[in-house]
Amino acid sequence: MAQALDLTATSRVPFTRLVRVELRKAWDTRAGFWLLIAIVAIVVVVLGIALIITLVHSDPVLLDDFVGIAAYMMSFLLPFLAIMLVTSEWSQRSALVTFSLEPRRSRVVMAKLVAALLLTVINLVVALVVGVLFTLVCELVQPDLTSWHLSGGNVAGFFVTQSLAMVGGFAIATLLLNTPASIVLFVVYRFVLPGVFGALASISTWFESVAPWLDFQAAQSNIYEWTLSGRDQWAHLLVSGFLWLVVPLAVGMWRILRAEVK
Amino acid sequence: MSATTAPMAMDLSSTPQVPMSRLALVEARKALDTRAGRWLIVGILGLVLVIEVIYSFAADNDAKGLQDYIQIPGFTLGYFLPIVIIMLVTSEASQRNGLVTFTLEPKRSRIVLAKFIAGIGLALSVMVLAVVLAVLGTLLGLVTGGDSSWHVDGGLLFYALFLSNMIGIFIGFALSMLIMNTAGAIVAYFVYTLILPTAVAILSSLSSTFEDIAPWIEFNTAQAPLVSSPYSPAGEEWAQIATSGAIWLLLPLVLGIWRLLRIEFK
Amino acid sequence: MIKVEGLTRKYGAFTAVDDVSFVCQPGRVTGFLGPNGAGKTTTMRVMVGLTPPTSGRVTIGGHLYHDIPNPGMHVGVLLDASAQHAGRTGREILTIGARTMGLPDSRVDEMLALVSLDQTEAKRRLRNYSLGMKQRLGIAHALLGDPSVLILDEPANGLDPAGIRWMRGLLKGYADRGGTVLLSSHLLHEVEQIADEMILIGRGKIVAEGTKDQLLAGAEHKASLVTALDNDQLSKVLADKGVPFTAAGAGLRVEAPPVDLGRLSVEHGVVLTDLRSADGGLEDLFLALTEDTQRDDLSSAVPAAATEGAQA
Repeated sequence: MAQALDLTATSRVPFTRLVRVELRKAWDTRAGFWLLIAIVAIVVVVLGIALIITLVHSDPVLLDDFVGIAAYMMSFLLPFLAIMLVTSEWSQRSALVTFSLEPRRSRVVMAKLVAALLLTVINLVVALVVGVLFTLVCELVQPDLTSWHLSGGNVAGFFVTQSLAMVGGFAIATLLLNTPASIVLFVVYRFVLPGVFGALASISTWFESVAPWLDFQAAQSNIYEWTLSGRDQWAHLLVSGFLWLVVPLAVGMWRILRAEVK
Repeated sequence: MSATTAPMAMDLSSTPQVPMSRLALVEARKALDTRAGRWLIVGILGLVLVIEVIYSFAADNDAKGLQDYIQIPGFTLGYFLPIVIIMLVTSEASQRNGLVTFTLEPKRSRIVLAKFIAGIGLALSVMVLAVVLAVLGTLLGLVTGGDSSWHVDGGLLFYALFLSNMIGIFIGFALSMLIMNTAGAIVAYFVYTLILPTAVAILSSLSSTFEDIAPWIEFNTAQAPLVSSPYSPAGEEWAQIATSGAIWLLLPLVLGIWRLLRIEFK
Repeated sequence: MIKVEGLTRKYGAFTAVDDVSFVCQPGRVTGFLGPNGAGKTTTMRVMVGLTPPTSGRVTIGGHLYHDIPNPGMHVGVLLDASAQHAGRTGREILTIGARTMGLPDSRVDEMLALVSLDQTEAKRRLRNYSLGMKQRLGIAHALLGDPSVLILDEPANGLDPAGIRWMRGLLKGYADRGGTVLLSSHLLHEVEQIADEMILIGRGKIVAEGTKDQLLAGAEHKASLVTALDNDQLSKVLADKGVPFTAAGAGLRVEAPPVDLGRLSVEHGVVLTDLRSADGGLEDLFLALTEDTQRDDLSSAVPAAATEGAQA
């Protein structure tokens, strides 16, 4: 009987397959499924009310507006999806199985990251579709007031900032590996920190000069408007991005690679 | 084993019911004995301190009275205290403690009540601590050159600090009992506190009619008079709080309690 | 096929696994036995790369687990059947595994049928599974890729007698086809029946290894449990011969080796319905070897042989 394992016929699990499985894991649980439903439901409800209002008031309607509202609403919840992609492996202990099937953990984490970005794209597409559908209704009712103008710059800008938010949530999740803690910390990072930085900047001129290098959210505001110009703004973006995305992700990754999985 | 047959009935006469005070104390202890619970409370208080320090240096000197400082914990607590409450309830399901908790005290309504009492007790303690921190903050403000004004509007204390936080805590209870899943309830809470108001703002900007009816149907908007000067809601505002509160607070609370009493724990 | 070489794992001052070395041969079922906390699970976790060793190494078929591409196809692992997302259905859990390994979805149905989980059960979420069902699902997951090596931690945990018998047959068949099976267990009687080779571990160190015969070779048989058609007749014979005995269950416990009793019964025409040695079994060996690492004080405990022996 052979004492060795014949591995010649076995190839590595391809990365694409890992990504597909990770995408599937995002919606195959009750929690993940309902989160996705909630995102879509919120968008539909808000847009629905907006639609009713604009029709009742006979206001002009822009596809731009509908898509913008949809995307904005989604932007609150999408990073939570990214967080859960990472933390639920730990809280549910399925990491035991995941890392047995693919012992190179860095590949699994990268697959999760790619899945998170793909989810951003998918959600954006859904926002576009929903926006189009609602604009269509307006078109049918009040064609003179309906405009199909859609600013490509806005969409692209939105995609970039959303992806960065997703990665931000993802990085925090790998660092903490705990769902509630990551969610809370992410909310602080995204919504509270900018205010704190603003306050600090107003009291201290020293901080005011340092802030742009630290405040990632502020640095991103120019992306949305596509008014990034000059080396300075790019530099601020890259450095603060490094601080808030790359560093936590690197630490989190190191932690996952070395953790003992029980 | 003795040869005589043991009696077939269990003598319960000398065992009293677990007293509510003991149940409540245990629940409070459960909120604090995990790393997560403890760090959250420490984090909240720490955040209050940090913001107070920043404020002391950033604010104008004539806005450094106790009244101004008290708003810092008022706002911070309101945001994060409900999460402590959520974890108090949902950890029974998430961590599967429910199996143990509800076997030690099978009358679930008592556990629910104990959790409420513990939650409110915890919240009050944190509020008191926060007031202490606000006093410290005012002192810091004094040191950094503020006018010392120790006057506090009673309305602010009651409505902004106490009542609105209490409402927040009960919302936390409602959400956590309905969803019975820590991550889910926390996400739902942020949807409630972040997304709802934003959605309302967007829709209000589109239509002034919507802006008018918003306080009647959306609870966050209705509470605005509680947390902003002059801290004394008028009659109509109370009516708005009552109606939107019935939709967003009472109904979920009732449904949540009903659910918790009937849920199967595995 | 599985080679553990000088494996040590320390957690600060605590040594969970202390210089452990052994080999699991293909075509055999190897039983890994030890008291609670002896280091069995830790050793298995190191085998599949979930825990890094402090020193030493484990190779499977000559490779480190980390170096095996798509390891699910070669090594089937079941360490903890509850370590799965409670919100996923049984079928979904297997499907994710199959998709990762690149197997068709039909394989999922095959495995569900193999472990006797029907369609309705497969659609239930894991939080609604009984312990036995979770265990069956875990075994199905380990077998998805038809691996040649199985590493199972307490696989019989939660299974009913029918399930245990089924699993016994499954694993024996596996080994007969040339596969390597390593299973850890507390259920001594189970392991006795299924394992070709046993490794006893206590407090991180190996205390004995070998086949059942090798392990029991040195045991002496000084006492027997016997039940006769007419126990009074037997008692009389024993009293005449001056052999000490006491009543035990439905029969007698006699301070003489079984072979002597057999001879006695033949000489005096006493019909015996049950005859076995009262000591020297695997349980006694196990307890004796791991005595100082046991957590329980067994001085007042009832030995298994006395209660079950004479009741057949």
